[in-house]
Amino acid sequence: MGMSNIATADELSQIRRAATGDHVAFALLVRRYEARIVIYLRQTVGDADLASDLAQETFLAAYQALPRWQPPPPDPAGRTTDLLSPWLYRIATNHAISALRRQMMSARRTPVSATLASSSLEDAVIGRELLRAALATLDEDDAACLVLHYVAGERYGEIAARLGISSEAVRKRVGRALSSLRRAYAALETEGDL
Amino acid sequence: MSDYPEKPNTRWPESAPIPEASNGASPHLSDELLAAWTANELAGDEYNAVQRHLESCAQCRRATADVQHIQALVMEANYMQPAAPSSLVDSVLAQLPDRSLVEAPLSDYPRYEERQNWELVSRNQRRDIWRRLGALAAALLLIASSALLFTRFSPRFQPGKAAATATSVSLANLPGVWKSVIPAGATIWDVAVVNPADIWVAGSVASAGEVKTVLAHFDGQRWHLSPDVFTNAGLCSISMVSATEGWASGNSDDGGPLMLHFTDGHWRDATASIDTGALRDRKIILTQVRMATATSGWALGQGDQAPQHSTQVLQYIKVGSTYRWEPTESFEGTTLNALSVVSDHEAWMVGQNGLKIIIVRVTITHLNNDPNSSVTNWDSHSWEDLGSGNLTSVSMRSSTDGWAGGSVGEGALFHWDGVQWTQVGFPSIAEQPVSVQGIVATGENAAWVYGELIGSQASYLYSVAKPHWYAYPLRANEDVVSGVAITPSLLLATTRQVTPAGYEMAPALFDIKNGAIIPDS
Repeated sequence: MGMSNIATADELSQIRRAATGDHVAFALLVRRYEARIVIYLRQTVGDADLASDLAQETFLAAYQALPRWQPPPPDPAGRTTDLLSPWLYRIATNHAISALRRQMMSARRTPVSATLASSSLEDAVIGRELLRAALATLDEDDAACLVLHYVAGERYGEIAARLGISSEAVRKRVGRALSSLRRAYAALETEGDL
Repeated sequence: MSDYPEKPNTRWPESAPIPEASNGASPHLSDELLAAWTANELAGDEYNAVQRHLESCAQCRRATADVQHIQALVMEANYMQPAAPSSLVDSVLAQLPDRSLVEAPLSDYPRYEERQNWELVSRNQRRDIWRRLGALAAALLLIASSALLFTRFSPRFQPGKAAATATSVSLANLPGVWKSVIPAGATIWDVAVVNPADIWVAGSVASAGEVKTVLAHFDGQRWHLSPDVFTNAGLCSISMVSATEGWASGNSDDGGPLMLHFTDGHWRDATASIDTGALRDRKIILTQVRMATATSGWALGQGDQAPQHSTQVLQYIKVGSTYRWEPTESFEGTTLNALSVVSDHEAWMVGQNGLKIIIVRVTITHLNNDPNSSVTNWDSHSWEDLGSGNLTSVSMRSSTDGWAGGSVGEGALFHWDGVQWTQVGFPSIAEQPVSVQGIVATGENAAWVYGELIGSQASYLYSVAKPHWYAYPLRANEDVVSGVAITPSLLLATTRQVTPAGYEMAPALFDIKNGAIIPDS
């Protein structure tokens, strides 16, 4: 049994314990995943405080759902994926998209101000707007690929390992994400001058 | 993420041309290909095909420029990467709903069962206690080794008494002035608390080739080193009956037992109060002494005649007109590592019998309420179905609430509810197996637990208030050697920090709510 298998077995036992209500086992799982989930959520929603809230929501939802969690089948490619990783990304994405939709419902859209002093700040606002619009139209799997590829700059192979899917699937999803971004870009273009 | 339908093969066949409009599809690059191209995720024939297409298609060249622009905008959206996030663990845990721990019940504890066969002998059993305490001549070696004595303490905490003295207690001084009093290099094995303003520690120190006892007292304000020093001897354990009376045990250089008695403000050699003539093995180390009252107590004596190991149990009892330490039971092939006294008629001991964990309860009944005629019951139980293991710690608050801990394959904790012992789920740390080295019961279903992460230099300290667990930070290369509850929520631990020169021992206070509340001195 290699080191990675031992690590996986340990995680599995932590998951099983956490599923029975063992808070310390769950705390260890939170510790294992929190950094990457929080960073991912920051990239998704662009707001550190909101990301922190969403990460908490994610872990609480995960705790509730943990008894129903099923271990993924062994990866045929032999990659070692952290067991909970795909599942947590999906929950996190779900919560992030919901939050973004709520934001869009309430604020509708913040007009891109022409008075912004810095062009890079302006670009940042536009980029955030594009992201928000695109994410709102995607399912959680495509949305996760969008954020991990276009915001986090990850390679397809990295995303595949993170989400527990094939590189082919990542490629399809990034393609769909790009379509969504291009539509959002076109919509912004017709509204204002980009 | 597998529920989204995937097309069976999204890659083009080798050497495939860019699709033409004849089949109804766009003659231009799909977003999937555009994305993969701009991401530099294409290779081989596919790469070449896209490159050829771009050379001849202005619309797709514009599209790739758009994609790169969009990509730049989106990347820009994250131009402000905040610092690393702070941990969510505490806030998440605070919001978790309770779910009771799943516990695996052991078989009922057989009360008043027939004595088991004590003669079960295993030559392979673990020898933690004597290997670590060994003969006193090995004390110097101990200092350099990762020796641990598994002990547990009977704080006999009396809230009323503590409250009365609390005004004169400055626990902040407890670790703070330690270094100026306790000799450098001293090993402190045990702590006894009368109340927060009356704390004793016992151990030994080697200097100039000579080992001598260390006894120190905290009076609520500062530490004082006892002037009563016994040379060529060391102490393993201490138990106070009151502010004015107590016992300390260990062994002397010749391998025989050492028993000190504190009365009239001084520690005196009371080894003569042991009925050595009745000892099965005269070379024993008294690894633990625990008093129930001034006239009732127990001590564990470890024999060291390898490979045959034994534990001799001594009882402080009235013999004729005087009180003596009387050898009672001698356990062959069995190690009793720890002792906890509930009252003057009940004590518990735990250890290893053969390769199995063993729990022993001693109960004393007086016939016709005549204190001079007593019947002592020895009940013991091993759990064959648990596999090999060893219990290193026991802490009983009452006849119906207590804890035992050790290892059964990995770190294991057991809780006694008055009817049966139940194994309690034990959290792992950093994905490493842990060992249980000490337990201090503090309240109904509550205890401190400490030990080490097997296979590493790291140690842990937990408090458990079923079903919750709390972890307390220990420094790197630090472990808890002993602990005692000063108050129900405050643990006084002696910790050992490994340093390049050896190690340093220091007391530390851990508050059940806040973790370490007093920084190291």
